[in-house]
Amino acid sequence: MLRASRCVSAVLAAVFATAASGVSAAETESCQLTDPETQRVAAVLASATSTSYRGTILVEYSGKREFVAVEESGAGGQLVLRHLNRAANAESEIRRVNALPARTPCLLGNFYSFSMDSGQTVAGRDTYRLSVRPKDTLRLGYVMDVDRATDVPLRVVTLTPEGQMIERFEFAEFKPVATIPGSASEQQIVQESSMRFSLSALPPGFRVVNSGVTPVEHWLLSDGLAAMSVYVEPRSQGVKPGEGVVVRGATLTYTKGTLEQALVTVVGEVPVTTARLVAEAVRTKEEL
Amino acid sequence: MGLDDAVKEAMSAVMDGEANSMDLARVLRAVRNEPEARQYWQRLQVASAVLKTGQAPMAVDISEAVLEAIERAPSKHRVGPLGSMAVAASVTFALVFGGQFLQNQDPGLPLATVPGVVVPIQGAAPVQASYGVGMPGTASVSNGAARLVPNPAVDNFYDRLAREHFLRFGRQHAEHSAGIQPNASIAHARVPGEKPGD
Repeated sequence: MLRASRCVSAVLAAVFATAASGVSAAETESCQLTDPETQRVAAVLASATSTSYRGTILVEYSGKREFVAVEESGAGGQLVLRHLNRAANAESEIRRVNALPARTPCLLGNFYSFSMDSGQTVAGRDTYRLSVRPKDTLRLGYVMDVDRATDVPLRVVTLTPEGQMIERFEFAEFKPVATIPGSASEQQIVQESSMRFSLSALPPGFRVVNSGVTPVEHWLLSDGLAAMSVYVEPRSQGVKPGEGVVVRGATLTYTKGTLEQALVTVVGEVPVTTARLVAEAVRTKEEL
Repeated sequence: MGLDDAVKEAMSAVMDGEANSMDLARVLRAVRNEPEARQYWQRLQVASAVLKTGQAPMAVDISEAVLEAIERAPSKHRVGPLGSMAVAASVTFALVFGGQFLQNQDPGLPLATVPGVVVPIQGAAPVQASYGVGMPGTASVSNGAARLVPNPAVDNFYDRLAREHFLRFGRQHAEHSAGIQPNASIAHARVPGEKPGD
């Protein structure tokens, strides 16, 4: 087991090296995944935007269950779905899927442990189980039953860092289709210099993969699996500093009014500790 | 002999990101010299985690982590106001992160057993606030002047604000992050509808 002092040194180095260069020291270490794990993880990551399918998903969290029909998957940069429990004859919703920088399984291995096993039959299809366990408490864990033919996760259980289940997705029906032509929307990267706010540090493993100013200044941070959007706007003088949080399944929304007159909202699939730390790292340019 | 109230308040300030240079110096001195100060910080973290998630984090000994952070931080006389904030941030990160990195280091440990149903946890209901319930004696970040006294009015305001911001920003977050999620459909399936309860 690592000694605390070594761990802290690594954390501090990672935090500030990330802020300075965008690449943490921990990420430069050698790959901690075996070859089979690397191949499987890479295949699963690629399937998110490369495989088209139709199907029906069961979404479940905290006693709430909902069926969602996927009429067109996001491989072409577009997703068409219907929430079947929200209205009779619910209309189709067209959603965008933005393109993202390529992700490297080895980098994920610095912050998650992966293990593989045989999976349950899901939607009548053979799967393998990919268990993803965070190495710290700054990110969530996943247990995925992944389609052997397409590497699309068909059953995804999301767990807290302590292992408590908070959300489950499972395909009731799944049918791969020919990939629909199109390209994923490009992420918009706004130059930091044009933004009023900035992030003084990032949690280990997280990088800025997107930023923008509409509707307010924001960044998308990700470690390759976990994602959180950070929205910042000026806090009105009449609003006292404070914080609040709501949770819906794996998605947490944390809002903090800082003493620096900023109103920070973190929306993402991360523990509240992570959201809070990021909110505390928001600075106005005048502070830096 | 109990921990000095000024140290407690300074710790709350560091935790809240509201520390000034005096707060920081007081915290650094206390955690260097007083085990009780380190324990108090840990209790603040636990209280905050319970308020937020309904779950207590795993108990960890953070004493070495804190001291290491202090050793690595620039000395006080060399930092100005901006530097003080950086030090405060580094201590906060170390205090929070240090212990956490001691966990889950053994890859051989089994992942939590996954039961067949979703376990309800506090705050996990659809758009249900989980903070501001007024637990006595716990840290509040809502009032800089009396940081250990919850201010339900402000907390409830921010809970409502967080709920509104989930509805306001949730769809954009889903679009931006869909390609990162284990399955791209998941991000959009999570997005609430227009009607309450969706």
